Amino acid sequence: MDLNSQEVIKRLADEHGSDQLVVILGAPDAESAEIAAETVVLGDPTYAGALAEARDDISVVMLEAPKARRVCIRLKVHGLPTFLLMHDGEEVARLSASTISPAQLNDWLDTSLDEMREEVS
Amino acid sequence: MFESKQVIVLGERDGIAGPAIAACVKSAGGNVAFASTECFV
Repeated sequence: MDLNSQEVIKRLADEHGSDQLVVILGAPDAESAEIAAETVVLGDPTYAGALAEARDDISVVMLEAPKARRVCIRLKVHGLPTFLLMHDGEEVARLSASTISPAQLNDWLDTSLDEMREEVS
Repeated sequence: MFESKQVIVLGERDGIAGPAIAACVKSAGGNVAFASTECFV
């Protein structure tokens, strides 16, 4: 979800109280709506949500693609969101999906980290 | 349904655009506090 939208939602919730807000989603399918609803309620895993607060075994860096176009081109990031797991400056795993929940992201990270550790050892 | 509520509209480019939803909310007497049309890619 757009970062500006997230900030506005947070501000409105602070001003009016979340019980006074009604959020209407125009998502094209149920899965997208579920992810958007999860983002509104729990936070965005790429911004201030589950990933940023739940994982202490990795460092998380977020790039805003429009402001980091050259980096995105160099890393061959063609769709958003894209998650790259890096180790010693090298990409070891990549996840690019139009909709993904915090739980799916954490599952992917766990699997990728296990595979990476097996290769290193 | 919308009485005393602030309505946030999160439309989507591949679904229903924000302004279309906002127009429906207004016609139903709702107060649209924020409306946008999101894009996943």
